[in-house]
Amino acid sequence: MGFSLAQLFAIGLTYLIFLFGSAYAAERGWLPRRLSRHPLTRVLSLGVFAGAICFYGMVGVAARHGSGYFLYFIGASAAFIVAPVLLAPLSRIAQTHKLGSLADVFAYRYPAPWVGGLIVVLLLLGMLPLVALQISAVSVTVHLLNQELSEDGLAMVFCLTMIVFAILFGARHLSTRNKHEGLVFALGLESLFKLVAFVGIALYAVYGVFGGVEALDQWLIDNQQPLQRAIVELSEGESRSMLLIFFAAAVAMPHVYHILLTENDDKQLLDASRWGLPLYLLILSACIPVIVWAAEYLGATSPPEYHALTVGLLGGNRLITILAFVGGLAAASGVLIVSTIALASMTVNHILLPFYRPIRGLNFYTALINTRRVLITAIILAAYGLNQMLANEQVLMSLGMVTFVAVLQFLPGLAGAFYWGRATKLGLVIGLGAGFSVWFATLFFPLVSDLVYSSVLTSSPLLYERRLYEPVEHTWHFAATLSLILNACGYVIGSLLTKPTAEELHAANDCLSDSLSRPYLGEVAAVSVAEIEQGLGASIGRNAATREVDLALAELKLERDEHRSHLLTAIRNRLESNLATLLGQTMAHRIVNRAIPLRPTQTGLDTVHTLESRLEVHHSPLTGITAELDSLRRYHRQILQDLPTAVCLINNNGQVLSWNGAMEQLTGISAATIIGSTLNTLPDGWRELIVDFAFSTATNEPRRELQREDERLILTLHKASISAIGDVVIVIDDLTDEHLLEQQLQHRERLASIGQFAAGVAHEVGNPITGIACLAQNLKIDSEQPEMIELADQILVQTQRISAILQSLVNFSRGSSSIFGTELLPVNLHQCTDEAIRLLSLNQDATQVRFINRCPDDLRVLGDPQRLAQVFVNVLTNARDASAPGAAIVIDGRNGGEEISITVTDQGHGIPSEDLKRMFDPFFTTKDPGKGTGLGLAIVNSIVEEHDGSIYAESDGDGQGTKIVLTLPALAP
Amino acid sequence: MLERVITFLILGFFVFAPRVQSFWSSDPISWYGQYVIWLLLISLCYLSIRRIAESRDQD
Repeated sequence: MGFSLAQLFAIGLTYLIFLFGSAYAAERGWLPRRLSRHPLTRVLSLGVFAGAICFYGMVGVAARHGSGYFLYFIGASAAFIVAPVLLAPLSRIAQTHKLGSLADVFAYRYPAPWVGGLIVVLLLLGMLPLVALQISAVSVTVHLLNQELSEDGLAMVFCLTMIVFAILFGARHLSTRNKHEGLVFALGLESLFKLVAFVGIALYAVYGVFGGVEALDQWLIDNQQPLQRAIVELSEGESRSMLLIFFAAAVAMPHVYHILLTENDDKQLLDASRWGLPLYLLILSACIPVIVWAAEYLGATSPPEYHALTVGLLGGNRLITILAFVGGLAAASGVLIVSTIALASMTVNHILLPFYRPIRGLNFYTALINTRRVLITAIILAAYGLNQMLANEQVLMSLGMVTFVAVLQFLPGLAGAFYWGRATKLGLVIGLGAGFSVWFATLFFPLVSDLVYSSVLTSSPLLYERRLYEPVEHTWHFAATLSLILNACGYVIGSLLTKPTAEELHAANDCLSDSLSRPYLGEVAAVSVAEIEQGLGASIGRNAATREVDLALAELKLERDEHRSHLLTAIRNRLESNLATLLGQTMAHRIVNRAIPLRPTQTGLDTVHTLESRLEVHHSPLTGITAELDSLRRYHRQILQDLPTAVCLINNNGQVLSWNGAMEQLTGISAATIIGSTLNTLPDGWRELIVDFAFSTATNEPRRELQREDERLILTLHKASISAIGDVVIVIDDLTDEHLLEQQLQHRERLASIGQFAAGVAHEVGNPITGIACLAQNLKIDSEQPEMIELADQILVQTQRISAILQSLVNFSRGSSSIFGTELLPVNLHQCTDEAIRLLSLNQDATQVRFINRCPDDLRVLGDPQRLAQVFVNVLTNARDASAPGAAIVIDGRNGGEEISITVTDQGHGIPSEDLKRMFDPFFTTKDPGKGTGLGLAIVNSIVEEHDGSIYAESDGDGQGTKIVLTLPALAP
Repeated sequence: MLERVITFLILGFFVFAPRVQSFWSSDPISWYGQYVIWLLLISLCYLSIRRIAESRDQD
């Protein structure tokens, strides 16, 4: 049974096109999102870890070393089961700081411009054998299916195909900011396909080859000894090394990192993968022994790595053979595509971008995407070249072990990043240098130049004795152990010999679990968004800078005219975060630091706001004492916010740090707009008030007046310095209401004293006037001369006039006296106004007007009937005196529930507006001298106030009439 | 608590894995035994995660 090249190419291409089509459909939203974003899909996408090493390599290990293959699956599963040890802190840091690759993690934790580049170079070198392994696996399987085809040619065809699909999957978008949802979906599908293929082959092996489980068991019993003789068990040391190697591989492999942390932003994925991925690997591993036994049963002679393929071939089952081929293709292509995408991205971010300078006419994003495409091509071709250079027929597992031991070298640095705050970049470099030197000398170089190497080594007795010239499958354990020991020792000693820098300590603090690191103290030096954009444009080009700034402003919901320093800092942080998803965190941090520098400050404004905003974000995950402290902080903050007194906090630069609720109410300025701004941005009036006081030496200002719209505020200011650096807290008391009350009290006291004076004058003057009146009366009676009688009449008229004035004074004094002690009775206002009208009608000498009483009959108040009658008499008298003969004076009443209002409307000459406010003042009159004392309405006002009512007048001016409105508390029914 | 148990089990497996392997290899008929232990570990892990998620929801 064989397959032609066309058939194999068609099958492979169909599978790849189907995979890419699924990815494209998922990205375009043609597939239901609950399918493309399902947790199962995302967990399955992590199955990219199981590449050709799993599909082929471990079958070979099982055939050669028995249950040693199990260690691959257990080691990788352990990394996920105990995720809290390493994967969880790695995930936390990666997602918090948008660290898109392992190089970003190392560059963040061990800050230095070259750390990221060093990690990328080592990863490129270390991953090449694994990528070459994928190429080799596919080319060998195709060769096994069609012996006429050369492996070299097949490898090249496979490489070219992979270049196209890697670019399509991972470097297609002009903007590489967006996560490749399609890629994740495709990888999930690929993992499912691998699982189905492997399980299908295993089931065929059990039921198709052996004929059932019982037959298998019987065969195992019959062949127990031969099987055990064929196996070379791994030593204890080798087993433990393998466990550690695959544990490290699951954590540090770039393709696993890329899918777990870069392409997935789902925080729940890690939890699901802790049991999901081990279960997936368990099912895969369970298939391996039966495949090996089936191949043994069928007498396979091909390399045991390819037993999955040969079982179908030797069994004559075309479907199983195709399944095995496509399964192997899926496994190899997944690792190849994702690892080259990850490596290309890292290379751009850490090796090429540091040297990038904007070129006029060159679009930044286009340059980025094209560079990635070139790098993907270069990496795959380099792996092909390595594959060609392999001097011997290398066992697949050997190639894999070269990469795994290389990746193992990152374990000390990674573990130290999260558990040892003392680790420094020098320690990392020394450790990596030692480890990779051993790796290169013992594993990588022998891989590519066996002829040269062995000729060098055989001349050295020591190295010959160490058998380092032997194939990798014999030396990997020694190389792994030695390199790891030297690496760890170099890391520890190097770190202890150097003092961590401030940056390293800050990064270490951030990486140590559950710490909420304190941000740098610093304000943005730029004072406007335009300045930020200009700075950024110098690094990435003007158009790209504009686009990034617009995106950041839209995400933060800010405007281009923003000037507040803490919000400019927020814009800077958002720019860095967004650029990190595009360029990697290290490069983004470097660009932003250069383009938008910080100005060190001790004001603490940004620290306070940044800390508080981060506490808001971290609020729910805080536990224990940190949660209690945060609750206490909120409690005290709320007390300040809810204080009934206006409080604000100003720093020594004149920036507003705090502005509580009472301050917002008093000034009409919201905290959201003023906090972070300087005092100069306050409106006129408040600016002068607060600036003058804040920067004066006085700590108290007992009385300051401020005009606010149409009212005058009376304020008291207090100031206290609350820190050594000059921040001040200002407390403002609004005394306007108290001031008004004081004025009203003074007015009442004045009225009361006038009343007393009036009573005294009336009493003193009244007696002589009575005497004069009597004498004039006698003169009139006793005299017969007309002139004397007329003279006596005039004297009597004048004394009557004086008596009337005295009576008004007495009434006023009585009116201004308190009604306390007077019995209050229910008063029917309709009857009261009727009585007042009757009294006025008795005076035939006054202007004759028409009184229209529309006051409802059911309006009742509690009060003194006599005084209330006087109120209406006085008001109606004034209305009559102002009206023309025959004019109407209307009395209306309305029950407003708790209050009753009575209006007296006349059509008289009206009252000028300047007199309206004074008309209730004592002795104010607009009448001609001798026509009025000016006390009538003052008495009315006094009586109405004593009845807990109010009175006011409305008039549009000359000739428009006047309306007097009295309001009195209604008597409850 | 369950997390610690799982961590210790993994550590224990790391230390004793070679011995366990030799034991299983000596009897290829009961080759599936190690998978049973592994499946048990996965189940414990699943239970632990569910409990943490439930307590997080209650908070």
